[in-house]
Amino acid sequence: MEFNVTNHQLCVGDIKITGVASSALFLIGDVQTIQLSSAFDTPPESLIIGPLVPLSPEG
Amino acid sequence: MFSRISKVKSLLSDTVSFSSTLQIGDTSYIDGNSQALAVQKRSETFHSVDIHFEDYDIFKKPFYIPRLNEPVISSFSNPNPFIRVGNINIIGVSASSVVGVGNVGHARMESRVKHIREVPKQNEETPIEDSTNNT
Repeated sequence: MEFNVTNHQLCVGDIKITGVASSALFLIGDVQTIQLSSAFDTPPESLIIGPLVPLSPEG
Repeated sequence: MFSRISKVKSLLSDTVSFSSTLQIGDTSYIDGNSQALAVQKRSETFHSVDIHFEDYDIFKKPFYIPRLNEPVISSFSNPNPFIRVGNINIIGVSASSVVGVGNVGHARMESRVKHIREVPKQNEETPIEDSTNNT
């Protein structure tokens, strides 16, 4: 496969961001490679009902 | 590879926390990693909890990382060598995040978040409030 890119004018106005979090990447510039991976877990088992202290690990 | 020059009028960030980076200038590589255990409890007092990352599968599993060397013949040309951006306003940068202005060689970011909610058991003697008015 052949991939040809021609970058003409790139002009951006103002940028307003509330938050960049959890290993996120906000970049102004060129980059060769990016590898991103993310896991977010909030399964039904994570809801513990009752006074169970300490928290039990998942089985 | 011939890369472009980033021109930013202004950059304003209120908070940069938890190993986050505000990088101005070219970067060879970025390797960010963040692990979080978020515990939400309904309690009058918050006692210390003895929890460990290794008890949860999400922190043990190796991640799938996409390969770097795809069999693609790529070529780039930049007739306009500038990336122009106006004013940037960021309220918060957190948890190993990176805000960068400039060219980057390689970037690898990883994030794992586990949420736990703990709610007290409802008292069974408490009658369930009847929302329907049966008078």
